[in-house]
Amino acid sequence: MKLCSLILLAFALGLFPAPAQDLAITGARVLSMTGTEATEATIVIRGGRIADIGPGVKVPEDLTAIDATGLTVTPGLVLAHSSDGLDRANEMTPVVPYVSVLDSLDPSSRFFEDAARDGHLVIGVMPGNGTIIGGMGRVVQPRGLTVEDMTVIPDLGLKFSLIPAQNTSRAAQLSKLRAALDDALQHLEKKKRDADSKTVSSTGNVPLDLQALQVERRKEALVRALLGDVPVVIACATAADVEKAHKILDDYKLRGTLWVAPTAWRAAPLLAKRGAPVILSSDFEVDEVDPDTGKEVHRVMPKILHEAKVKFAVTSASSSLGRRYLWYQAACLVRYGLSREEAWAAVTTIPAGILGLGERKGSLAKGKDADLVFWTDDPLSGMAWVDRTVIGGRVSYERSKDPRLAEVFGVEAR
Amino acid sequence: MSRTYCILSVVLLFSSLAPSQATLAIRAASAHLGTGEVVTPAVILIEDGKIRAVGKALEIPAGMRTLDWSDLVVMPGMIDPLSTAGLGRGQNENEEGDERTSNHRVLDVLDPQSSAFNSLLRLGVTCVAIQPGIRNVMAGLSAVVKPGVLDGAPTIVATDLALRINLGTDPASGNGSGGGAANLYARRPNSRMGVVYYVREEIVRAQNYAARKAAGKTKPDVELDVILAAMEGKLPVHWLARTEKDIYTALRLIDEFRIPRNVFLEAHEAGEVAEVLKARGIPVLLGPIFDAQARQGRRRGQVDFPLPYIADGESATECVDACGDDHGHDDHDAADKKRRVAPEVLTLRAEREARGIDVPLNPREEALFDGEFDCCAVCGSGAPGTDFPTENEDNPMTSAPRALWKAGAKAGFALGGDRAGETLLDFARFAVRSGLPANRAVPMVTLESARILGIEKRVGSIEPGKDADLVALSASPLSPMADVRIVLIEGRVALDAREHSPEKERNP
Repeated sequence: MKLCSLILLAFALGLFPAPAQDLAITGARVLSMTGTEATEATIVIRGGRIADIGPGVKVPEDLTAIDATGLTVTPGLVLAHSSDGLDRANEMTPVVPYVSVLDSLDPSSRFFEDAARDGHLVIGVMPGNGTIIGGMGRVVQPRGLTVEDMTVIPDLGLKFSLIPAQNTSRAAQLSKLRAALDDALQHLEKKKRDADSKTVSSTGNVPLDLQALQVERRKEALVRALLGDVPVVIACATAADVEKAHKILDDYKLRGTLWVAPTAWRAAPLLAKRGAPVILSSDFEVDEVDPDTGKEVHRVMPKILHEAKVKFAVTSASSSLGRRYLWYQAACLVRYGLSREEAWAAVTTIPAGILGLGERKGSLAKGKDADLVFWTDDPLSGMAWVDRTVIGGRVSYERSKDPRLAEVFGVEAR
Repeated sequence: MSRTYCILSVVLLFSSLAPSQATLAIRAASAHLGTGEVVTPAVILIEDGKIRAVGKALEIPAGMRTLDWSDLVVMPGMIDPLSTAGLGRGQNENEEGDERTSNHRVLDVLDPQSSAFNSLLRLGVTCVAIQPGIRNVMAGLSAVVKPGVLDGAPTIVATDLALRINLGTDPASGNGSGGGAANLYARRPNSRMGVVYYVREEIVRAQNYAARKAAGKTKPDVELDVILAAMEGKLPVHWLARTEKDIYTALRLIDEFRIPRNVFLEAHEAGEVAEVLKARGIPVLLGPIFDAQARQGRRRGQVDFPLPYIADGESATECVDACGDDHGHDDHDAADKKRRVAPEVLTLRAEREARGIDVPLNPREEALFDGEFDCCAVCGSGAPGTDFPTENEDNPMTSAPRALWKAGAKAGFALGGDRAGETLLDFARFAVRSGLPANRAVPMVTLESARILGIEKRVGSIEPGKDADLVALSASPLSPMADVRIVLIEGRVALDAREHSPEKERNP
């Protein structure tokens, strides 16, 4: 692309941020995810947070107001788990707890550019499913030039995968996982014994001074997970994996969430019993052929989990046309029988909760971060484009200044 | 049990109903006729499996069985003009032994009970043109069938549709070389130029044969007869021409041999040449758009190597498990399932080994053949040295429909197989989102494709005299929240996805 287009794009994406974090939005239909339907409301933002929101709210005179008449405003959509935007989703070595996506994340990746364009404003970037222990993830937002600018939570959690890598059996996979955890546990115990007793806590609930303990840097991430300081995400492909994932969490006293593929649908009762929300893969449907009768049975994971009363966050697949959009994934959920509110929750409040950001993101209410998406139409209509996004009170993307869209639609931008 | 998971009662064998039971009336919230017209509310009268009448307030004959679809929106059953559904497992759609197999009929390998048809019914597709593969220069004779079996036989709507010519690099891809020097054992062609040469050579052969035939000096040649029929305009030529340069190549060949009837298949870059297509009167069957390989890098010929497709997922084991009938791959044995390589690559590798070919690979092929990455380069993650854009906004496929419509060119949409989740209607919806007028959406997945395939007298719209192939949706076809609830084929229920349905209760 020409240099001027690149500069325009940089402006469109808010890489040169506007100075103010104070803003007002008037005239919009707001879908706040606080339990009510979309209603006309005014939003006042101060210091990057929502100061006031409601139909009768007056716009303070000192604020710039964006007139959003005709547009629908929703919270920034939350993508709970993604391995895109990285140099490489998985390392070749199977156990790499010391690796962090900080080192492989590329802020200029097309994935993050599209995230802004698609209204995905909070992204939990995690290593892929191809390693046993993939490394540390982080929560980012699509803004800024550096990983630091983008970061919301630097240490989202460690990624484990129970999906066997090349030529590995499930038993070998699990034994390697346990070996790594045991090794870190032994290392921690040894360091605790070696250290000054004043800095040691035996229960593990009081934060330990890892530096004082002089935990080996390569083992630090796993030690933090064992201490409950960072959670883990465990990828499961089958129902058997789910049982084992729960066991790993319990045996090692880890906090964590499961990522489940549709082939694990049989574990719905187990997940219901556990009561914790899960992260779903971006594809929802699976066909199984009975080997004896040849009959095909079609399973739809969100429908099964919904009926089992398991809460879930859905993710997107950037390589696909429809499933790339979280709004499309939400529309699929409505197709499967969820209500609109339940479908939206799967791309807003539930993933925000899973990422530990339930207090700050995922809905529009007083005190929450001002991350908003302006849509040209009802986002579940299938016809909407993102007109504008706001992150932390700053406009971070504007469709009217997006050179890529201008290329497509020519002079008459829709 | 039926509460805890979704089992759709797909009735592929519905010969138990006597033909007179395919006489009924339907009351629906509205009906999209496929012509662009919408009737609200709608009454549809069906007699012996054919539409008798459709209108807002028709009188229903006394005693006629009436279906109450008053909360559903009806549209014609959709048509997928580029499908390999139903070809059954195994190497069925590509004859590897010869590049020129214009008379091979896909009908000979049709499996009407294929599970691929179940998936299509769930998507509301009631008619597919089953296409031969892409590995040969002249591929074979396609056929149009409906899913399932009616009265003991598959419903064949049309056979021997066209002379199929594959341009581009797909026919060359399975052959040797790939960057290194071609040797005696490498199968040809292995370049775009070679592919075109083979087309011309074969057409000239057919012309010579025609001369000898006219003089009574030759035995019949079933293969050349097909080519001759196309040259004489008795059959259209279906050109697989994805990129702009392939389209121009096809146009040159059409001019050189004065080929009267033509259709371009896939034609991802048709939007760039919309005016030309209109001027030449050549319709286009656009698709598939959901496959990453169709969207990425095909512009301006950036990717010349047709990459094997792996279903979206981060582990190639998922990809192999997701491999359905479309891949035409032999039974996966246990070893294959664990490897992180796409099935097609395994096949290619085996071919190379069988032929004792050891030629240097370019870095991309090396990456593919080593298989040391998580997901195929096509999915855009992990492959060394590649950075595939994942754009949709300047995706030629979603903006092509509007460009074609504006230029007045003819087009229909194709799904290219059965895909869990993403549907033919999704293609139409994204096209409307990118500027296609809303009332063109339903025609592009029904009547327009029917016209291009030449089957519009029988299917494609809800009009008197046509087959009663209907899809009932829970909402407008343009809404991504619309679910396919019921599918009728020739007036008989082929799929009923409703939890409680009076039909199910009567015919368990």
